[in-house]
Amino acid sequence: MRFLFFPGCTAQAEQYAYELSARRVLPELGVELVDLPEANCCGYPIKAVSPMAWAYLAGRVLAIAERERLDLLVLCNGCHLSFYELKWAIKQDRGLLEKLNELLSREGLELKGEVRVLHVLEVLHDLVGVKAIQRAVKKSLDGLRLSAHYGCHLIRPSTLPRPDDPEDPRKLEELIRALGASTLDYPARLDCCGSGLAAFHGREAIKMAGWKLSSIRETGSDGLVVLCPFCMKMLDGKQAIARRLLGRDVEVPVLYYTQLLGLAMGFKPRELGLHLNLSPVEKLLSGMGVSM
Amino acid sequence: MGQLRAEIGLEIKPEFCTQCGKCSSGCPAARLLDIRPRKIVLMAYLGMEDEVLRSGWLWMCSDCLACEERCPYQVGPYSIIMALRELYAEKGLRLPSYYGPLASSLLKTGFSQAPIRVRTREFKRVDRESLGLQPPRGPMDMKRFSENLKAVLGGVRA
Repeated sequence: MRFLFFPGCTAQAEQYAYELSARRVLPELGVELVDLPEANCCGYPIKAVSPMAWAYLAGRVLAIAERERLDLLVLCNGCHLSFYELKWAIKQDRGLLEKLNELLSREGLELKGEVRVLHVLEVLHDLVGVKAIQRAVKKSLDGLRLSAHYGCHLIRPSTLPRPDDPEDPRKLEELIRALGASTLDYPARLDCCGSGLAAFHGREAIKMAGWKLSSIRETGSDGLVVLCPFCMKMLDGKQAIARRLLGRDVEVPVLYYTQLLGLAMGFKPRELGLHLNLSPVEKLLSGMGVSM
Repeated sequence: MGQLRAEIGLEIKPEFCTQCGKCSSGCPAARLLDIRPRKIVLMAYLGMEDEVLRSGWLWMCSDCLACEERCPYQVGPYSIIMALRELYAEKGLRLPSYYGPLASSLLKTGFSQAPIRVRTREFKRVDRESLGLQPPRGPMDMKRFSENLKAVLGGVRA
């Protein structure tokens, strides 16, 4: 399998552990990552206030992928939704496609909307497969009890093709169990990390992350597994502030699935960027008998 | 529904709303202040867009899409909030301070933000280079890209 690798702005500009761990584990599973010769933002952050700017930005990335004749592999839930929404919009509105192509033709690009876009969850679960992942495990996570956070944009809205069920997603838990760990349900499982609010109301956004984390803590979970750099920024990075704002314990080890997978495959924590996680991941590592 | 219209990518039907409240019961922002998606839907239906635009509620939405997913009548509460944000920008009202730096970064680099130095658990500063990661590759013809983007930015100012 070969894919054009699109980490997205947040992973490439600050959430380095996601890119590091993805680059480390995916090729081992037969997923070859090809860097885009050029790229830009998926457009999602500007979509609400400037839909045409969003359409141009998202369309431009898809047009580059079409020129390169390879499907896109994305790490970020927001980028994934952005591209699916644009593919839907240009099918609904041919006028929009014409407008975009008028702009893109000035850069020697053409958009058809035919390129496939896959989130790392889909690549691992649907293409690599649970069985192949089980076979790649060198160090079983047997005994760990983990919680999954999918992130809103990966599962909603169901009016667009999304990788898993909007109200009862299963794939991430299946992937966690493939590594030998067990999974825990919790009441806030489908709730938001607060990230979409962070740009406008930082404290309130962090409270949302804190509600989610304390719901996980109450289950006695050994750790939370995430799939999106925005969710990670909130759930891993803001625990100290969330604790102060809510006045209750919120500390939970948080890591990307690609990091968890890498640990089970026998990589060292630093090779997977675990020294960049800000939540108490040492607790999780010592549960596995691994040190940073 | 005076000023509100569905833009690209949005389907909105405020006239289908029965005020059942399912959107609002799952809304994480409803726990934070007196905002309810169902109230915004009703106000949009009644032509009270200006009141909503002035209220500040539009910027309390965390973009989680739960209301949109759970609405039994596909009214599109989230899409209505996003259409109102667009209307807000079109009217030239003062956008949250987030958007200025975002627009200038997009115009300058193609990305929403430039790579930063982050700290490790041991309080060491690291960046892409020290972690062995290549610099991101933005648009090859930056000038043409910026011209194109500028032409479609609308009410957002860098």
